Amino acid sequence: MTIFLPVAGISINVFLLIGVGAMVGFLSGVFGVGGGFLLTPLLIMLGIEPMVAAASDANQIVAASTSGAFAHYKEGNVDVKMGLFMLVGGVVGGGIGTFLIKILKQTGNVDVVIRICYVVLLALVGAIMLIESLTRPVSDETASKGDSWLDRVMIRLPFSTRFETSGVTTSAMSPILLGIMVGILAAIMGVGGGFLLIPTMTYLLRMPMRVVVGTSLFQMLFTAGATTVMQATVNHNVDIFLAISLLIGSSIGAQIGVRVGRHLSGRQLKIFLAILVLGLCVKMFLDLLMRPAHILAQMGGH
Amino acid sequence: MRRSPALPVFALACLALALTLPAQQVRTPARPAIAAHLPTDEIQVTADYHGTRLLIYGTVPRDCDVIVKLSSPRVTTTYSQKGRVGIFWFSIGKVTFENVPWMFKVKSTRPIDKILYVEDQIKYRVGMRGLVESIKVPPETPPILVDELIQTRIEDQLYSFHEGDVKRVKGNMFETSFFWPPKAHPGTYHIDSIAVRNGKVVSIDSEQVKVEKIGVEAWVSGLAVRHGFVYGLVAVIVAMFAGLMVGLIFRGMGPGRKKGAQAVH
Repeated sequence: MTIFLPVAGISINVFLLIGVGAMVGFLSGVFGVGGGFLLTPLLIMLGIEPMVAAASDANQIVAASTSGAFAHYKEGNVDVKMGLFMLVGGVVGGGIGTFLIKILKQTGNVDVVIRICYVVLLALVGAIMLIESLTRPVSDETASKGDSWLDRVMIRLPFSTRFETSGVTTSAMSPILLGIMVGILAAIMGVGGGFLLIPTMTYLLRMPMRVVVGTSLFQMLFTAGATTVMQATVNHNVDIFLAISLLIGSSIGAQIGVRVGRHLSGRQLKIFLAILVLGLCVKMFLDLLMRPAHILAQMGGH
Repeated sequence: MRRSPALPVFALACLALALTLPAQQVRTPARPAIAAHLPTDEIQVTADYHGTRLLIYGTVPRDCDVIVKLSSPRVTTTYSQKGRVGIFWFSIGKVTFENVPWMFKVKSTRPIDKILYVEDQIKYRVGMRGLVESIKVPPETPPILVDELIQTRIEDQLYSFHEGDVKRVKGNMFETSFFWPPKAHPGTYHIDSIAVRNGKVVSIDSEQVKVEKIGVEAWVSGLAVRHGFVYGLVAVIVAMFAGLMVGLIFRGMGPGRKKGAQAVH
């Protein structure tokens, strides 16, 4: 069954989209990672404009994180105060990212910049995963030694604030800055930013694991939501049909992934995912080196 | 010898009549002209749109060749030109093309160069030559860029040049078809059926087809372009609702919990 994507401006088999969504959802269910960083590059490979892929992916993340964020909120696993500080940063970052896209669009370089960002991101994520899966997991002592240069910088930041739910005291600037980074990434690349949020909240802000997942989902939901609205307003690049097709696939895939993941050994799977991510990265990099099929590209897309 | 006064009066009357006649009738007096017929004058773009093919048929004098041209209004369009910067391909400048139809397709009974003089190809803007000559570019633009533009449009199925794709049926009939790809914009398209004899255009029949978005498709794309903020809000609300529904459905199905909750326990 073919569906015409009104904003992307192409017609595509809807089962292909659901299938891609399901595959990425399955992986995110098995590994407990968000799928944004896999979904956007796959959509680009299907022929969807990078900025439409990223913006629609942000919309899809809203759907993917709603249920989890709500469940965690009910169980009291969300540090609302911390989440709100991050959200302020997230909205600012999303706005910065949205305007960066607008400027890049005008110069005709939005596609190549998004692709380059992805090559860097996939290389980092893939390498970290591969190293993590090949070496012993980091023990708690090494993780909480707390004398890195980042720790020393953070102690000096002003506006020290107490976050009751997490039981930590830190500068209000840390969650805001973290939010800004995640917001920029959400707008430019259409990722939720879990790969950045979870380690930072765990190792840097020292929040308990229980609160980390809930709070990151909470902030992801609203940052992705705000970014979707800003992208739709400024760049008109959110395709709702695309987002819904992906959502159907990814939610089914994630449920299967969670069930399957319990019966599989983590290490081999993680190596497999790392190789997949690195493979995507190499493919995108090689595509960038090749002479484009056409040296002319329509400005503004539509 | 006296001339009858009736003659100049008659001549004047004839002239006056000729001037008031519609222009078409004057141009093609006795000979039967080309006449084309389309099954519809409207193409509707719905949510499952993946292109439409329209059959065009008509009558034409037996001794004429036929060229059928599909084109959309001509507009100014800007492209970015890519070039190598370091190891990657970046946009290195902009090129503005004027007088470019979004869609342009030409089909004919025989190769156009064999049936129509070059001057008429340019005058009536048919064939590849007619198109290339009618597109305006800034003077310093390398001509290869116009070829590039046409190539990209051919790949998107927006342009096509098929010589021999107009078929003669029963001597005085012709038929052909045109495909409107998914990328065809809404708007009015012109279909000119041109009868050609001895290298010259004999008669033209012009028809119009309107492409229109309808239903959900029209609503969604209209909202996305004109009311981006509202569209964004709708997109977020729909996504949240869909996310909650999916969560509820799967929560009711056995021990599996939503993936986020899973990670905690």
